[in-house]
Amino acid sequence: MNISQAHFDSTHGEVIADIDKDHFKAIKDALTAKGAQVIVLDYPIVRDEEECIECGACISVCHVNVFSFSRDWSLEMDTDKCIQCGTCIKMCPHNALTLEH
Amino acid sequence: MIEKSIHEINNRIRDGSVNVVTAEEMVDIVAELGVEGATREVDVVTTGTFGAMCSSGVWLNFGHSEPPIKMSKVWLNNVEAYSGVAAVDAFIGAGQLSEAEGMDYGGAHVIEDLVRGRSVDLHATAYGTDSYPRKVLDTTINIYDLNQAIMLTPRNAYQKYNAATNGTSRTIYTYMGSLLPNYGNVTYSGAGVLSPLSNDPTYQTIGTGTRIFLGGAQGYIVGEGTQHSPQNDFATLMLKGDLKEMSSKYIRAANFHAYGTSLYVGMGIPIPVINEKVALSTAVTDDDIVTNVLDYGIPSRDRPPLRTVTYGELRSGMIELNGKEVPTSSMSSFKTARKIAEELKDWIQNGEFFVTAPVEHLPSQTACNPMKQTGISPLVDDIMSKNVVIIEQTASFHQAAKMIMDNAYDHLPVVSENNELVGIVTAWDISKAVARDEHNLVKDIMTKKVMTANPDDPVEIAARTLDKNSVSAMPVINANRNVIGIITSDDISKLLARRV
Ligand code: SF4
Ligand code: SF4
Repeated sequence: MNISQAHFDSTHGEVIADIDKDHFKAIKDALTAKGAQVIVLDYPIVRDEEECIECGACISVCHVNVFSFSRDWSLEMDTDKCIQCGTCIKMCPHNALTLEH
Repeated sequence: MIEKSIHEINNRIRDGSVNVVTAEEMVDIVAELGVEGATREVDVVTTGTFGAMCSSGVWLNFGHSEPPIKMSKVWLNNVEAYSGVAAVDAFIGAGQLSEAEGMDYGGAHVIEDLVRGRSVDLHATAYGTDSYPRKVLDTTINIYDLNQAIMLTPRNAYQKYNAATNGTSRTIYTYMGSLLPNYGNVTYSGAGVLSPLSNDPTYQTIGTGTRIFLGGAQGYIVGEGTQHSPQNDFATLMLKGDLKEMSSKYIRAANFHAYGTSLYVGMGIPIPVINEKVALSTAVTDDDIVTNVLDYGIPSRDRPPLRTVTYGELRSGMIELNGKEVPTSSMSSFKTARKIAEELKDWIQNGEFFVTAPVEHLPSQTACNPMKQTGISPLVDDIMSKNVVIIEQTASFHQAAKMIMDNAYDHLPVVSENNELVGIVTAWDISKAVARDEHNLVKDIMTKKVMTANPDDPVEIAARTLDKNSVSAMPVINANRNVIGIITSDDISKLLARRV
């Protein structure tokens, strides 16, 4: 299991992790038994190409490098890497990015 | 020395023999042919930029109603427009927020809706006069219903702009986008090699009356923009164009999270190559344009530059900051800037656009001075309460409870053995401990993440920190983290009450 992000405060916490398909059920059951809630994050970031102006503002805030520029300065996305943290949504000046649940 | 007149260049545009290149292409041409050869070869160099220009707006004329009204207040889709002029004129500014939707919708969105031909609700109120008896008006309009929709931007087309980063421990939200904590990213704006003013930084060809590309249509430079600051390469322009002819490809509303709304304006200036000096200046590259990286975490007008950086470095995607590689991102769109330079090139090649000589050159000596402030802004030191009761972290929770009771304070700063601030205990922390039956030491129940103020901070800064973190008091500390006072939202409200 590869933990990509973790946030904790005095009342609750949140961990985002990459889990192998084969181990998913065992890990999920173990966590649920301890009272944790497990949510599968498999709806990566979506970009509205009409709204996007290809500024690239989103590039520097995504820790897992979903966004990059191609040679002609078009925005490219590797959504497989997205861990659905939502940081880029607040960054985008054109409301082009959304996460669906 | 080769000299070409504007007249000569326009004749070539007319007969189709004109040679137009973009400022990006010009770099290679000058490298290849030399300045003299490039001057001979190229007639016009086109530039472009597409970025957030908050200081943008549009003058609208609605036509007269029956019975007539002299509008004293006007709203378009709940966004207020300025109407302190004649009866049915109003100026809608990009940064004005909707009274119903707040930061989600603003003047910039009204402008984009108009450009897209959408209907907009108009609401106006007036005091009523003999010649303008009507007091309230409600109607729905679109751009075709207006007599004029003239874009007039007080400040556009910054020659270059400071790059932004954030040295604080929290994400901050600015007009330069989200800035991640601990210098986590750097954002910048401007088209570098294609930047209009960077391609003619001494304004040999740019000035009042210059015909330009504005929002997908032909527009004009009115003159210098507000805050025009040529001496440190922060020149700006005031622009004018007909919104009715513009396209939503180049006029786009933007929302900066927790900051407000802004308008992305596409503009480009054609630079007639009238002599070698102009040819040389249009050969500018990203690596020649230098700007500063500023820490936007410092809530002050004066932010010392962390380092200088070129647009070449910024556009590479990473720069070094304090020995660390930091990702950069652009807030403006280089791809669209390129499209603008290409489109302007097409217009000129097709004989649809003629270049101009400026009627007046832009001033090159003006400076952008800070505001003269007559009222002295009070500092935290002036209003904090100095007799603050503190407690040691090893004290028992009962001692803390007693201190709060005896002194009627809600907040107790907690200090270490060597008197440094390490946390804060509130009446609420104590109630929580009681409820959980945890009778521990102060250090176990205190809040460790404590907001603080410095004695020489302006009160406005402390007020903003209290507000943002929804806390009602903050210890004031000196450089050694010793607690020297406490400032509460009550102190601040009292100060404001005195001022009114
Ligand atoms: S920040 Fe938004 S508009 Fe800019 S490139 Fe990313 S998705 Fe597109
Ligand atoms: S949601 Fe997070 S991980 Fe996904 S693209 Fe946005 S910033 Fe990257």
